[in-house]
Amino acid sequence: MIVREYRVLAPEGLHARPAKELTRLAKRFTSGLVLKKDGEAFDPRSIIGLVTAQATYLSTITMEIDGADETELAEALDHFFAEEVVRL
Amino acid sequence: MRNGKGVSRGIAIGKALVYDNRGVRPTNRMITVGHVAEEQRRILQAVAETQRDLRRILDGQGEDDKVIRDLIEVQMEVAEDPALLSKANQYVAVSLNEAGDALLRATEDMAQQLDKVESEYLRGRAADVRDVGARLAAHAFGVPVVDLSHLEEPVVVFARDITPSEAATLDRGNVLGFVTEAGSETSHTAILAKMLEIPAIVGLRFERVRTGQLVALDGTTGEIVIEPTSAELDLFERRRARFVEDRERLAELHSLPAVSLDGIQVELAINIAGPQEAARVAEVGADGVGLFRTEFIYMDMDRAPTEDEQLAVYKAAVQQAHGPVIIRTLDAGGDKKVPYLGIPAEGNPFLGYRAIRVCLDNPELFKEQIRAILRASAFGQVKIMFPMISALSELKRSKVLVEECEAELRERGEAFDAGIELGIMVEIPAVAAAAEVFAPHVDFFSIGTNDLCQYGLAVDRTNPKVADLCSFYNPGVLRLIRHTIEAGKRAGIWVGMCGEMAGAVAATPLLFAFGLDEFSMSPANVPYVKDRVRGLTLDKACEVRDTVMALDSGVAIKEYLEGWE
Repeated sequence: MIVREYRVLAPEGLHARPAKELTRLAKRFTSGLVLKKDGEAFDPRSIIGLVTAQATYLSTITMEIDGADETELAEALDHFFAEEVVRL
Repeated sequence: MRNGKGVSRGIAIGKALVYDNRGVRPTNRMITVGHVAEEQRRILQAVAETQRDLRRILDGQGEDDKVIRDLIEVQMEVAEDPALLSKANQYVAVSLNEAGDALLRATEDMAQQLDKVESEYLRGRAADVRDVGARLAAHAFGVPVVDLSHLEEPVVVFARDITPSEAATLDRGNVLGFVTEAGSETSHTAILAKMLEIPAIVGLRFERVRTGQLVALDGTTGEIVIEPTSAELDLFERRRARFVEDRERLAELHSLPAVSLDGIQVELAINIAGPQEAARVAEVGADGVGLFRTEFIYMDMDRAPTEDEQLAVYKAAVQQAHGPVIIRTLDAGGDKKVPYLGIPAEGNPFLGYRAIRVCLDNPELFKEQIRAILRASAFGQVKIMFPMISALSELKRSKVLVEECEAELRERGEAFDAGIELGIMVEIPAVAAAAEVFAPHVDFFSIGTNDLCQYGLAVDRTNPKVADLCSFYNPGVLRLIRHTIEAGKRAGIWVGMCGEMAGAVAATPLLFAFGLDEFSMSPANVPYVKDRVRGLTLDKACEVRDTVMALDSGVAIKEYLEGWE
């Protein structure tokens, strides 16, 4: 399992548009993926779940990645957060 | 007459059309266990059909309609959301609901989750979920999906909210206006109505309106009348004629400069409180950002933002602004609470520990911001402005910190604009009165009329009992403003204004005569002020100035200026 921590640096937070991009990205991989924020778990493949997580500006989120293509998924997430938000 | 929140300017007069959840209603029928698999298949089919609908709507949009395209793609994700579908399947399997009912219940559950989140923007997304639910259910029931794409006659649409897929397929020629219950500046209705230039009011419950009733609404003021009397109708028709005339004239001004008939040009800028608002500079035909309030970066947090975090925000603003951006350093305290700064509760917070006083007391915090602003200046024109300066020593200490930051950045090899302009807000009466003392030490002044009035008149503008006294037309306040501008000009620096007065059209001739170089205001006021400047000559403005300066009360001055031309 790979664990990654990111800080949301997009001033509008992880709102609907970036959440849509993240959901689409996650669906390209088969590994299990869980987003944790303030101890609560959310499914990044559910856009409604992602938006409900309220990853607002400067909040910190954790991604738990587990499965056959976990390395590739982690890389894709790093890339995504480097553009939308910046990694810790 | 009733009042909601006007979010898209203009007047609409016409018949009401009450449009409710695409006309889809639950059947409340139960299925037998033997039908579970069939109804679950129906859910999958409804998803596929909904995706096809949305794909078709998406393909019908221009490549440039980025906003609508994104919103439709969000709806496509919602339509196949795994959490949503597993809920719907459960309602079929456990509650024995029909596919359509199960989809309505599941989407409503999810929408209610969103109703509870803190951010107003994210709460607005509940409307997307409900709309997708109605579309899914319509397909599951096998009934046509009702939308606003083919209307029989021009109507004013009353709905809970207007969603992107509705806006995208809208029969634009036949929608006169929108009235919605969902109420905020950031709701879809507000964003889309403004984009489509359709008058709109949000935040209004309208149980008593029926389809076919005549209504008149004003999207600027938020007023609406159901079944207007002939006098009311007359009033709205006059407003409509005037609005149409104004809009045509103002639209033509968009790319023209704010220059008077005798060739004197001033700069028009906008006040913003977030980087995304910087895009409005080009939208309203302004020249830049005259005030970027940075408090939002510090508030609602448990620690101070780092240099890099701030840089991301400033850079985003600079890149979107199409013109210079004046960034005001942290103005904490007063009514703006920043918990981790340890600003103690005090009897007179507006006269207490705030703004530059807090920053100079916390030089590391202050320098973090200054470095971030300096680094942003590598991406476009940036100016730094210090708030609440009351003594020259505060300005001098601030400038020393800027020099230290520049040296640190040079050492780190970071790029920045070495000739960055530094200015101060003139908002404390003693500073306005002694403007010539400060002018040699800065590149510009920006007059903050809101605090200047509050301090100059000893009026707490947040106290409704006395707020009326807080007028920038007061003869004393006007003299402070005039003196500040004239002292700045004599010293060869430019002088701007970023308080409410800068956006008040009635005050434009007076400020123009005083010699104000830059007017910074809410974006919506830009076309009006530009229009006013373009109709002036210096001679005419000076006549206004001389008349005003001979009057002895704020009330008389306001009345004269508002009645002028």
